[in-house]
Amino acid sequence: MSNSINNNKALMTHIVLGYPNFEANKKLIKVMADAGTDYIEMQIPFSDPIADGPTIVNANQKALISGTSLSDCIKFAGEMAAAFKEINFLFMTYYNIIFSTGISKFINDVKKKNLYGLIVPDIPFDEDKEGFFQECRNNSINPVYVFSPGTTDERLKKIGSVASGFVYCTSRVGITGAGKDPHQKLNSYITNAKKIVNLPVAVGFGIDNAAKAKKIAEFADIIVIGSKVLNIVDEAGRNFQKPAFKFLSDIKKSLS
Amino acid sequence: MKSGNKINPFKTKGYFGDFGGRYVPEMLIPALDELEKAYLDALKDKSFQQEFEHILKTYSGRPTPLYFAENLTKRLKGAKIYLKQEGLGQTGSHKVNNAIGQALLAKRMGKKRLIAETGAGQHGLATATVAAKFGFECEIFMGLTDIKRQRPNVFWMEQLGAKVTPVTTGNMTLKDAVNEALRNWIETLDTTHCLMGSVLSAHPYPVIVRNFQSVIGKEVITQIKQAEGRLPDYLIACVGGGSNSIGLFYPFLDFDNVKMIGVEAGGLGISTGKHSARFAKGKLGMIEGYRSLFLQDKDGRSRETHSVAAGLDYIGIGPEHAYLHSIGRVSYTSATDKEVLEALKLLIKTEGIIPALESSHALVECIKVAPKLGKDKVIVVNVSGRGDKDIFIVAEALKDKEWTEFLRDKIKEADK
Repeated sequence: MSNSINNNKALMTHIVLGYPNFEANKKLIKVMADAGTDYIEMQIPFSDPIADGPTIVNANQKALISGTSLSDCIKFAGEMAAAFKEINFLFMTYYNIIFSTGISKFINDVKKKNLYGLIVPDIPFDEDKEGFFQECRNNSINPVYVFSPGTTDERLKKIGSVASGFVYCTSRVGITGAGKDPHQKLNSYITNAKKIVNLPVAVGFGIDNAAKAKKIAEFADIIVIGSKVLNIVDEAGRNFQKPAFKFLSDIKKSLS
Repeated sequence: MKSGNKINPFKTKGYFGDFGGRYVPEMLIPALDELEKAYLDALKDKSFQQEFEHILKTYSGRPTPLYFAENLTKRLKGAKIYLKQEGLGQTGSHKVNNAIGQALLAKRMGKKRLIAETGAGQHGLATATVAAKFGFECEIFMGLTDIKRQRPNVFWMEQLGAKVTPVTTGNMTLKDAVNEALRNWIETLDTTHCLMGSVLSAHPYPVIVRNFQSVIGKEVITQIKQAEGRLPDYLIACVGGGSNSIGLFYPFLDFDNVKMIGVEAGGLGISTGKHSARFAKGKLGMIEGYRSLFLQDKDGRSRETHSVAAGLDYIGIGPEHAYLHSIGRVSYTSATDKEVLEALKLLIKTEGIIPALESSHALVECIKVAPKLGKDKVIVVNVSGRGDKDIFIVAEALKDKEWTEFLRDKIKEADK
């Protein structure tokens, strides 16, 4: 597996599994791979995605209506990880999906499919009664912790001790979605956070063009593009490959 | 009197036994900490409590009466039935108690804007009302399904100056409104207080709402002692998220001889799957920010729920109820839509009181329990709201032809 966190900054993208269907997911992942994407978050659709904005909420809902099950998602993830070995795949989902399956069983399933990590935004370390973070690390699955400017140094210390791989800081305090400006003091916040957590920092939320990506890459290690790709796919319909590739490769170029 | 039933979640990191906590995105933690601090600070401030009580009395008409339902008692030939008349307060339900309390807190925190989720619209109405009174900007999130069935409340919220935003995700009911309110809050933390309407969501909401609603039970203790010279044998209340019931139950929890029953929405019947009975069919989980029992599918996603009463049509149960159930202190049962309509008709005819559909769930249980008890026993039922808002639903359910005719005429007039 590649790990491009050196001088060149890495790119992480996001898809919602089963939206609009797994066939389209596969095509989009191919486009992402061709554009040089380093990490892909595959969101397992959930009924109550409280950290997500309208674009991703809508995709979650449609994926559920079309009957996307957890076992479909795990199977698909395994196929993708086998087909695109150069990419680090992560599952992104909400904690109840994992809790309901059983922590050990879920992590074991993920391990068997050779995924890189898990992003679960609604399990703060204080509430980890089941030992989720520990179980991830014991199985070499990276628990990627999401926080935001406003998270205190004291909490960042704990976050650094439970997370592994990298951490994920939102560019502002808010929900996912394209077109909004980052936090005013993001640069100094991230620079400070990086020292405390002692892990690479991914920055996402609202990054929707190459100029923004380049600017944030001055201090972030990984740039995350989420809703914007979904918007492009939604607008382009069946012929999404070309515009999605153009957008992502422009972003990727801006990072080198 | 025994202790152990009452939990102070400020000392247990927000947990009631195994339930509660804060299962929220990290970015909400600072806001929840700020709220907790402001609330603990207000608890130490005598003038805060005095102002709260003054407004409850002069604005909302508290104490609400505890009414001896003599006709209903005679009809059922059993225990004496008392009704706590929460519907007689400002805005027509108990929801206003909590809305006033949290509005005062928001004022202390220097917030300019209130947002709230609502199911039946009673909490939205209470929030819009206090926003008008205290001069807050206000936005209410309400599922499109609920907007359609509770138009009168939407109309009044808008007249009160609130923006009512339809929520079109998921089932388009209360849980989706909760999600949307949380999302909006995440985007507007600096200026906005999220005025959660029930004893759910992340700590410290369940304890704050419970404490503000406890005024119900405290009044009942005084009132029933005056009327009967003793405490009641049974307390019965409906349970959606669980705020009116916990408000009644909480002050009684350590009186072991007082039995308590919470009544959930049985919808079309538990066996049909179309209900909101969390204790019958729920599983432990963490959805919408808290750990409790939720109606979910095999993959841990929330299931569709149903009730004739929008205020009970919800996937989760307040964590303190889950706890009280787990230790056996409170028992929980359910009432079907059909039983609810019968109970509603009975109370209207015998006592001249029109209860909300939500509160009518509690009456169903009272009708079942009272005849089995001796005439020396005493039951208190919380009539958490009045039923004026339900006229469209009830008239439709009772297939009232003249009402339909009236609606047609109104449409014709409006079209002119």
